[in-house]
Amino acid sequence: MENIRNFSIIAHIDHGKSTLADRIIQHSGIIPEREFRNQILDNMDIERERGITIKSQTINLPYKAKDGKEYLLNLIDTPGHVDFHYEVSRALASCEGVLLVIDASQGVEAQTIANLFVAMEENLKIIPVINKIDLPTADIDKVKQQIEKELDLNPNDAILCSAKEGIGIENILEAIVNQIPPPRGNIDKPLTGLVFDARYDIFRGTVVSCRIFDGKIKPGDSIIFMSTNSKFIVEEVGIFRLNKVSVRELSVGSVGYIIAGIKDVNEVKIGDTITLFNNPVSLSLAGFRESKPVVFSSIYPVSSEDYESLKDALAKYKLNDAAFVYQKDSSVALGLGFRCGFLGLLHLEVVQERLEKEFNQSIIMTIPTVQYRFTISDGQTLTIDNPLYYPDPSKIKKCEEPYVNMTIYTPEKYFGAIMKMCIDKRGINSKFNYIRQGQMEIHFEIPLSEVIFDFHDKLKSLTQGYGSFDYEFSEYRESDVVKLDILINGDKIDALSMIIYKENAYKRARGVCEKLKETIPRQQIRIDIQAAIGSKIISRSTISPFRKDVIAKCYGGDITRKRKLLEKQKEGKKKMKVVGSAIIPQNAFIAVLKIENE
Amino acid sequence: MNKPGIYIHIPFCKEKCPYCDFYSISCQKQNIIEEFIYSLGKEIFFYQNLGKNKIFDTIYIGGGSPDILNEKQIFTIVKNLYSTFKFSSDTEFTIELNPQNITREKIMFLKDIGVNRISLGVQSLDEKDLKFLCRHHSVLSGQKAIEIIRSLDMALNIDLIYALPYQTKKMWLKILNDAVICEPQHISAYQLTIKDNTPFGIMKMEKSFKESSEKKQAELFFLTSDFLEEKGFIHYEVSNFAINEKYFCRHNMKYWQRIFYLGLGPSAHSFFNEERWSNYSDVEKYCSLCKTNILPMEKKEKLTKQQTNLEKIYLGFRTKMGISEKDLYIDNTEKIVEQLENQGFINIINHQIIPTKKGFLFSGGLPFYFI
Repeated sequence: MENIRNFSIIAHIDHGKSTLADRIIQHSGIIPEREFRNQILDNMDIERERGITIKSQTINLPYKAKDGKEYLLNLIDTPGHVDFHYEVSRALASCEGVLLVIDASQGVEAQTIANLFVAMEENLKIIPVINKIDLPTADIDKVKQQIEKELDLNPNDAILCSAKEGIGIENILEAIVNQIPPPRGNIDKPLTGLVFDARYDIFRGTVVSCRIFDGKIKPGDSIIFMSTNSKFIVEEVGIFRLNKVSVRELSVGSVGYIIAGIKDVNEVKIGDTITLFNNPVSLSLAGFRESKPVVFSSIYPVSSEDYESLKDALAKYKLNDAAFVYQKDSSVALGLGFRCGFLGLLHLEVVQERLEKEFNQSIIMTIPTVQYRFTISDGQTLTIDNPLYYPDPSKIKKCEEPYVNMTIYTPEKYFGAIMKMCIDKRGINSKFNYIRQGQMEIHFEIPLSEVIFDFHDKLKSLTQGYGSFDYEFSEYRESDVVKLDILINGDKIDALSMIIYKENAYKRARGVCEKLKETIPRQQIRIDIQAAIGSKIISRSTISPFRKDVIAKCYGGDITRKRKLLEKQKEGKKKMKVVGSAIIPQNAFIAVLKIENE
Repeated sequence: MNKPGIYIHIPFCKEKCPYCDFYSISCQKQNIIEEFIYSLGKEIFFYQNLGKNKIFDTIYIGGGSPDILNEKQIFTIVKNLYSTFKFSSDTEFTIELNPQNITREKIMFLKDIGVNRISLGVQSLDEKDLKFLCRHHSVLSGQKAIEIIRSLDMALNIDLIYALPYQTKKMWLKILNDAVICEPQHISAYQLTIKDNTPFGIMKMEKSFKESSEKKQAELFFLTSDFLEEKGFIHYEVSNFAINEKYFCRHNMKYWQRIFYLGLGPSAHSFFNEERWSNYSDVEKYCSLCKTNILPMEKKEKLTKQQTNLEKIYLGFRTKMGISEKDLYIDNTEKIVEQLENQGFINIINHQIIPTKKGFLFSGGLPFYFI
């Protein structure tokens, strides 16, 4: 146990976490150089594309330190986004220390601090690492000052590195060995294991990643997951190298995997405690929480004949994403589909992109919404996350919507613009303080519905990319919302309905009507677009029809030409929906999603 | 009724008209024309096997401007056709001519070799229009040509172009009226369509040419249809009118009803046994290939079942015969048919979907609903 070090790397997006992880892995020599693939840990295309880690991977690395001893380092990777707060916290709970990576030119940002707080809560040893020192824009002194003033850490402990160039890696490894304490625990106590990840393997079933705090676990043991009280027999335990390597047992202090014939990954909850059935621990580990979706949207196949294919894709996707939930849904306009729940907007985007890119699905997603709570006249409380089930307005006594505590981290010159956005987006109780000269931290409370609606893009554009944010759910508060419907030639397009704060409804209605006018092509019939609250039309736009659509002359050659055009149209039609008599392209739905509240 | 037809493309013009995008070169050099006639003879011969056991019932000589050819040249073409293919006794034999070259003798000659229908490129009966369209004849010569053809008892089609940028309803109505007075059996009234690679197209791109508005075009379309129907014509295809079914252009009907036709000459298109092919749009290449006994074919494709379906749907919306319900294959056909009927684009008669006038005007867009 003295030779084990469990650590994680935390950073703001793009500060080089994955590159550093790669270097550390490379340095351990477990992968032949020629097989070295960049960013080993992020094994999903989309993550590589966006430079963020969503699903964490763990790896066990041998390291011979300068003191001559052999160490086993467990690098526990963490998801790098605000939607995955809880997952990050469980991964960090499995460690004794972290590398806090800070970009030498960008400096400290909101997520750096947010992650640092999580690490501090877990009482971890924190080693600051200043990365990208090779960049011409690197300002090491400034970052050191920030480390001292904003993070309250010793700047002299900071290790300078360029993961890209391979500079400083040795120093980091030595610091891990020398500064991060070895794990503590008692091998004779009952088994206590923390589940920090689970993923599905088509051959082996669910592979549970866990950290052993007390006791040991070996094949043949009967184990129980304490939150669900479900029992399994262990088939195999092992450690993560590049592939899974089975071992005889996992004992106190170590990090590894357990395979126990668990068919459904959803039976395993992140943060749960594993113990032995025959000799259980009395108290489960603290910090367990069921991760609950907060953002909801429906997914429909563009072509209704692809419904089964989408259903299969979702089932497969779900195997590796326990946080994603879905159930059947149907829309008059879009046919059969699925209502889905996500941890946040990024999570939603990740699911969307993976379905499209990895599973080749052509999908339409509806406007994301949060979960509203309605108290109706008979005193009943309804939780609504789908505009389809919006209660009868005459019976609504009270409506509540979720609020979050928002933290924005920004250069001070954008303070005014951000405060204005905060007010526009119904932010309240704002507080701010200077973290250092020129850099501010702004806190306020804001409805989650405003955060999932263009908040990220807006903040980035207001601050020219320098502002960053982080949020956590706080509570439900009373609010005045309405259901806004969109009608095309009198037909309600239920997939475009939304629940919205009453005062925003008019502006939004106008935006949607304009956007649809821009994106729906002219047709041979007039298209009337209306936005309505109940029976009251609050905004409208019209697409005037073609007066003619015909080729005057059609001979032999024209037949081929026109047929080719039709073949193209036929292909394009897969991305269209015929609603009533109007043809609505998929991108009209997407455009409405992307609309800005201007 | 379903006998195949023959189209011959004469790829020469005295001068290209600024709106035309059919393949032709402005050339009057006799040696090139002679070479073409010779090559065309070869191409006709290449297809003798295809013609075996078939009886053709239309010949259509178009272009270009077939009136570039002298009597001897036309005679050679026709002789080659007659000696290679079999034709029914009632063959419709059309030739496209321009008014300025028409003489009594020429028409009598054509009649002698079997031509029984003249498609006359009148285009307008207004001097200003003729100038605008850069035509080389006058209203008077147009009327004279019509008179000669009528007097020799040939079936006559008059080609007219409308929706010129400045044209008012009144101006167009006068032309239509004057045309009807000449008693042609057939009128083709085409909306001026600006194609990209034509002089008008280039002018449009440079913004020195402005088409008349869609609204105006639509108005003129309905006006044309209403007026000619009132005068006893049948509006049987988007741009075509005939005094009775006997005078529907049998050859053009083959294009719209997917009856086989053999196209000869540069750029000509053919359709046989669900195969479509086309020749090179290049006189020189055409001639050199024919002379070395190679088919001057540029592209050939076998239509898939889906492609056949698409064509049936598209072409069906262009004529009064419409499209059979059983040729519609997508799921929710009934609902769409009902909607389009309610919106006045189609009528359903005996399980046949028949486009209305309004349907004709949208025949480019309606197929989209059924693919």
